[in-house]
Amino acid sequence: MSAQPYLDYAATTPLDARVAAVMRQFHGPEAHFANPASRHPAGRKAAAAVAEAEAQMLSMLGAPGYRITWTSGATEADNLAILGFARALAKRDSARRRILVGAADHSAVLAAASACREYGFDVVSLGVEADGRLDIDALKAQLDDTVALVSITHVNNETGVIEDIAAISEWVHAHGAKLHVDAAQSAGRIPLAANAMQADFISLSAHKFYGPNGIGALCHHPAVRLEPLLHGGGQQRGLRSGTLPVALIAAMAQAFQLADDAAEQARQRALQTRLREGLGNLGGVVLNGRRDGSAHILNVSFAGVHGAALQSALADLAVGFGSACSSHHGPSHVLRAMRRPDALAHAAVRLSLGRFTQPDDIDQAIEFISRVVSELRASSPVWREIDQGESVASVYAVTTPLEFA
Amino acid sequence: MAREADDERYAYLGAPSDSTGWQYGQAGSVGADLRIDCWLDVRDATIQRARFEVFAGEQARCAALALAQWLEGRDLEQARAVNGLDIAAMADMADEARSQALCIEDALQAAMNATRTDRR
Repeated sequence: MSAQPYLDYAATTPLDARVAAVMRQFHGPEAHFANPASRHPAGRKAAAAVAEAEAQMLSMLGAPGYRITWTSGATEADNLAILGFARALAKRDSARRRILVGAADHSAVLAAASACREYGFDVVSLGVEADGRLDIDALKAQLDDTVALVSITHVNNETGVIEDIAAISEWVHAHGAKLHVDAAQSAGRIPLAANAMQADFISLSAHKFYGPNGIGALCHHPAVRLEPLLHGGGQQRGLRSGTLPVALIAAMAQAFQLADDAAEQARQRALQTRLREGLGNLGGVVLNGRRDGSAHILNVSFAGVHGAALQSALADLAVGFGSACSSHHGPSHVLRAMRRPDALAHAAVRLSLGRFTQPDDIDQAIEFISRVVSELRASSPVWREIDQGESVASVYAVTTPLEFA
Repeated sequence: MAREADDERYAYLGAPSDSTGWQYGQAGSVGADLRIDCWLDVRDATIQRARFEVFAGEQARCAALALAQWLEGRDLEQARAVNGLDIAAMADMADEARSQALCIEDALQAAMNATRTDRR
């Protein structure tokens, strides 16, 4: 390929030049570089910048009255929401001792929930349908007055599937439980109104929406109790000690203000459709997700192609295999939760688009992937059987419905 | 150079375009995420041509290619003596990939034990 299209925006996004310009205002001896905890004028200016950023974030989130706790990213925000809330409940000897998570949630959510077992909590993993959506019946069946917290991923980081948070929130709150929403993939991509979602906690990460790495936030309702995970100088109302990174905070707020508008979402949807249809022309391309998922993520499995061979052949293409946020190898836990057989899950590729993706990038990716897949299929006994008329479901022994790209 | 390498692969990997008279064997399964099929054109107890179909990683593809090249012109006794370690050594496979070499060996043995087929 002449140039490398970058189709891994769900892993991270490039820093937007407008965001970088904001960050530069905080660099150098003449800038607002001071520690916002300092009481001198320079410190007060830095503190004002942080307050302004918080106001911008809450305004964009439609969450007046909520609180922002700045973190290092969404992983820490997830941990603060889940583990911090569980520890607060444990301290008060609450009777609510169950936490519900989605089986397809991000590993940061699953691991944080698992850590709550140390404090006496039971963790229940809610299954997902074959198309990746949360099994709502399973959620309803588990909800009762022993549930402390339900954690749901708004947009799945591997499949792009969007959950109906507003509806889920009603059921969760009807049982007196709290709702945590991991919005790392939805923030900046689709409308995100905390009030409309009625979430008690929302995790955000700046580098997923063209902001800098190393900064995230937990947006939380003021009525919920949290125990800090980091101890020290008592910054951020004692919830997260440590000197605030003012430049990163201001940059995150600026990046959030530059969220994709309806026109940009439509542009990305058109590119995603072009990509799905282009790859779909190969035949035997299984869609891992839904057509009405987020416009920036397309996850497909190439039937008849071995996952390891595919990953070797596509090593120079910037796409995702499973989650870039996880160091685990092997088939993704998300696709396994959707009951994809390992061989099909192993041959999955996540292509994620962004603000800077152009039609040429899509066409190059289609051409390159099509060539690789065709070459690998030419020597695959599994593809021969499919090509001779066996169905993908039969060859892979899939028992759930499959949708093709 | 890349084109030559591709041509070499096409000569040894994939099912024969006309499989009449070839002996066929398979090993592994999709469920195990590892399957190797072997095709042998055997005449007068000598392997004239050998091809492998590979549903496995790149190392297994390289090993199958190397074995197919080595098999050409060998008699069946020589082919029967090949084991997984030999196959792994042919492609300098990493230790963790050696189960794939055993699968290639199983496919070869299955093909040698098969009767000539009229399948196309």
